[in-house]
Amino acid sequence: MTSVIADSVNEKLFDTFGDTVLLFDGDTPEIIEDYLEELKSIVNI
Amino acid sequence: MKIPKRIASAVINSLKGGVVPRIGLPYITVGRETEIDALLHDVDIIQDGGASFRFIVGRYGSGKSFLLQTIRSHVMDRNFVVADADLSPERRLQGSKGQGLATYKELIRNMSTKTRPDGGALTLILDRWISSVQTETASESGLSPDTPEFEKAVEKKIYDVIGALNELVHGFDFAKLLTLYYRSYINNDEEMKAKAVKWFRGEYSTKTEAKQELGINILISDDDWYEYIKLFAVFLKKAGYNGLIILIDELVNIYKVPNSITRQYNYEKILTMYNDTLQGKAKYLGIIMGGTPQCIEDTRRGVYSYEALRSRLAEGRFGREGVRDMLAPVIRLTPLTYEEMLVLTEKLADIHAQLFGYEQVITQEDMIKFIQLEFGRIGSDSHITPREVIRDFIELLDIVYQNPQINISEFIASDEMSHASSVDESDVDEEFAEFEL
Repeated sequence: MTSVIADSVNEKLFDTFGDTVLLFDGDTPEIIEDYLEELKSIVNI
Repeated sequence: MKIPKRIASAVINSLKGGVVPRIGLPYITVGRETEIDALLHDVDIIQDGGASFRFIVGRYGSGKSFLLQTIRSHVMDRNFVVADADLSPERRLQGSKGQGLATYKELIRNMSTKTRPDGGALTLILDRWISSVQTETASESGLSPDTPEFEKAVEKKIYDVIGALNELVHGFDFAKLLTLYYRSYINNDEEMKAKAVKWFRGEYSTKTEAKQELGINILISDDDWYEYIKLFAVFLKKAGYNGLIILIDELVNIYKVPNSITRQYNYEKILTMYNDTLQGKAKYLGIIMGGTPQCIEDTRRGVYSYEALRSRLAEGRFGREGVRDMLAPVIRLTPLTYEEMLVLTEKLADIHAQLFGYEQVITQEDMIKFIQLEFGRIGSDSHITPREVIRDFIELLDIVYQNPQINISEFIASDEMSHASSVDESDVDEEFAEFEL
């Protein structure tokens, strides 16, 4: 289930960002733009 | 203090509009330590299988809703599920035309968790529960997820949870629907899943409709919605959360109900909830309600018009001005101090500067001057509320940002700065709020 995976990602990143990082309203999860750069630096993209 | 832009924007926009933001509260909370501690003490009890009921009482704009939302974010952080609803003429605790059920629907719609703070978390909660049972079974049994044995082991665990609910009032129906949801999850039957969720949300209006779509002859109604809230609380604990916290604001809407019998029915519902939480009939459940002093204490139309509640909730012989009992069911909000208001303006100035990307120009002296001016207004000691001060302050920040040539201290001192004027009829002095001939 994509929603469960997105939720688990949000859970793991919650302490770092103090907010949810992935929005999941429809069928596909979306990264919240505010956190994109910081997220990239975390995963070294 | 760094604040994400989307949170800063939500905070500033909500506050300027005179409403409490639903996110970002930890960035702006000041004072209220005693109240928060008292409510979080309840949370510890709930986590251990207890239940609690509290009223938060304060004037319009004094910070009731703010405190409720602050508690909401605190308890979400502590792995609780929170459901909140504002009462309105269409949403009561009990009604003959679905007003009670409307409150239930709103509560379920707003069900939130730490990772889904904006509401709508029900489906996620159910999916997460099944998925966690699957993971747990895989690690405990070592079985491969493709085998029939694995499926049986998962089913056993699911039925253990469901079986525990059977003993509660309406537990059998609730368990039946959970089973239905589980089966459709396993079979990837999205349509049936949606129908089961529709049932949990209380959206079936007739038994015939429920029977046709789900094959069951039961539905959540005006009379029994609260029993399902209790069931949810127990289920959520079994699904890996610490419990359920219900926040109900704008209790004044019960006070405003013109029909005295209807009002009594609503207060009766509050009494049931109060008794349940204190007598151990509800578990893993916390209920907090917010209202104005008048809607609680008025002995003609308020909560205290219902004698059974008045005698339970009214302050005892030892309660007096200046001595607060934070273990009592009613928490009265005291006004924020000047210092706390100053800290709040400092935080807002910082957030505003970050949101619009400028170097903060307003100084602490300016803010002190601003607070002095606000509290120096005629009648401010009894009438000014944080809501109005905050609105004025954000207006000031907006004007200064858009007109950089303005000298802030001169501007604050001048008459040009207009105060936020309330247009809400609810802000009318109690004495003139209504009269009868």
